[in-house]
Amino acid sequence: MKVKFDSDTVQISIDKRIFSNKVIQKCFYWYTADYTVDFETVDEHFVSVTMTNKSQQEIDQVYLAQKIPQDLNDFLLRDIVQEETRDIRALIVAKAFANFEQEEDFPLEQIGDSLGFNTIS
Amino acid sequence: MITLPVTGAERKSRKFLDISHYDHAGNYHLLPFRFVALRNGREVLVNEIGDFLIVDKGTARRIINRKLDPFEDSELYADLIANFFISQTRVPALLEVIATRYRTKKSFLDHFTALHIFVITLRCEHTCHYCQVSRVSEDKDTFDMGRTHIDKGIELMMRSSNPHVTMEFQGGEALLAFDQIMYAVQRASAESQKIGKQISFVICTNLAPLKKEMLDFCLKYKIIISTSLDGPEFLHNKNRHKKRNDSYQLAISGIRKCREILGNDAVSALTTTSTLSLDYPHEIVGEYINLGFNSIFLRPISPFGFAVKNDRKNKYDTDRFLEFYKKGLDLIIEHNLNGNFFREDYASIILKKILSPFPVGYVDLQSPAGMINNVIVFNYDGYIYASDEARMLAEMKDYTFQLGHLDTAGYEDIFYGEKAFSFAESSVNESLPGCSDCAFQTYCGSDPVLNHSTQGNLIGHRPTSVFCQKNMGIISHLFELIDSDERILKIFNNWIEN
Ligand code: SF4
Repeated sequence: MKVKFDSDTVQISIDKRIFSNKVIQKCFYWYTADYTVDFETVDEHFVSVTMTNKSQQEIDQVYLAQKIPQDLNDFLLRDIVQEETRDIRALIVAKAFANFEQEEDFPLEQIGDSLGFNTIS
Repeated sequence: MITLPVTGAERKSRKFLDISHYDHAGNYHLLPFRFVALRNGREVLVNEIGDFLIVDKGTARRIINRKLDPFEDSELYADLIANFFISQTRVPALLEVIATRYRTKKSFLDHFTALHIFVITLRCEHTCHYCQVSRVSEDKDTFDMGRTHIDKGIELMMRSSNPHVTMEFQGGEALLAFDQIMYAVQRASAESQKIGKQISFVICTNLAPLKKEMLDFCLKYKIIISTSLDGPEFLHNKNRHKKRNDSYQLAISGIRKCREILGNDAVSALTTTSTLSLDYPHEIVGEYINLGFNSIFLRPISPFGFAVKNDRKNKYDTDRFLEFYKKGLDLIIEHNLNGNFFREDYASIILKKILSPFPVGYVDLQSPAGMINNVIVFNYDGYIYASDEARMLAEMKDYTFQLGHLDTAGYEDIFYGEKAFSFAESSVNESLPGCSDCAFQTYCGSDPVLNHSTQGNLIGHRPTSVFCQKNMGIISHLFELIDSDERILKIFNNWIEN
């Protein structure tokens, strides 16, 4: 990841093989209070993010150079948890709101089976 | 009440299977959880049911990247398994327990609308600069709620599936229409007895028009008094403008009379934090302590209605509010550390969500949002609104959250109608941008009315949302306090148990 600064903008070049579009967008969403954020696909592998300062305060380069990679990595981790636990989460919610008086187990096949629930006895 | 572990790594007492029972490093499955860094160099992990662990920064990364070593990190590993952050099997053995806990967290939805606000009059003798709705007027016919509308409101309230409803009278100044309150209370009591529904009554009042006969009536019907006290005399009178500048004196003598006749527990007071109040957190908290209250609700003035039009006096930024809030909370904690019991109510609401498995019936901090699900407003003129803030918006000619009129709308039209459904999507913070990844999601809520009024759409924009900034600031501060001193955790547990 490369971060370039000039007086009013910050340009970040991000490898999409590491950070998906979803991760990139979720991360830079939180910068939209102080910056206008534009995304541009550079090539098959790289996306360029341009943040233009819209606040009164000057860009703190030292702070951002450390914060942006940290935030991207955190959103990547969040994405891993979300993807890996999607089905379990759906199962928890479905079971929670299923009719508790019903004796039979909640039918797992309605939840999706990417973790292979159906093979677990 | 379950007290959850605070610092996983420091826990020594957990009884758990021998470490040889566990697989080797990284051989575990993740369960849904979210995390965020605190300002004290630590981070908090929160799972789907609101259980938390405060750990060293970088722990989430190690867990997710399967770098956790069950031998070196044995205590943390055990905590993560016991508190449903990771599992040794793809489907955790205690899935039923997690699902039941999730259901409990959302059990505020089980009974549907509890709080029914009757805006009994718009008349008021105060002219508070931040008041969004009231009118100084003698015109009862125009500004008091008519009896046909009271009857219809009660009829709808009786149809709520909630076995325990609250009928809250608001104004203007509600006591100016006390004849209507008496009629409404007597009728609602009779109707609720017929169908075995429990009903609580609350009158929100500045206490200025209070008379002995009113208190006798309140005593008979066990009516709770909720009044306003903004702090010491100079502050209260500045906030609550009244002709003779005697708002404070009337409130204080009213509180005394209420306590004498109704008992201490039947009267509570709320602060409204105006721009001026922000300079006086200690004085405000001190006033409540001196008056013998055992709690205070440090709440910001809402950015609705006429309030947004009065920039100089009312528009303060959330940072200043947070600074004010933290100073006030520090003083309250110090008072508790000195052996007294005194609680901050907003913190207590959030702490109950953090430290107990139970939900809190507080309409401003729920997902799905409290409007309609937990609160409905019948306005003096018969119009029905999704929340108290929604009727204030209507005073500014914004009728987005108007659900119908008592003369014409049926129960289904109001509670299950198209409008109610159209708000549902933006009511759930689990699916809102920003909130969906937020570690504080289970403790926070959503407020489509506030989003609409301050940001122009129901979904809102979290990075610039005052609701988000305030809650994120307060919740992370509470976690930092919990992590800083075990005695503070004890105080917090005490607050939510009492
Ligand atoms: S409003 Fe803010 S603090 Fe609350 S859940 Fe959403 S992102 Fe988190």
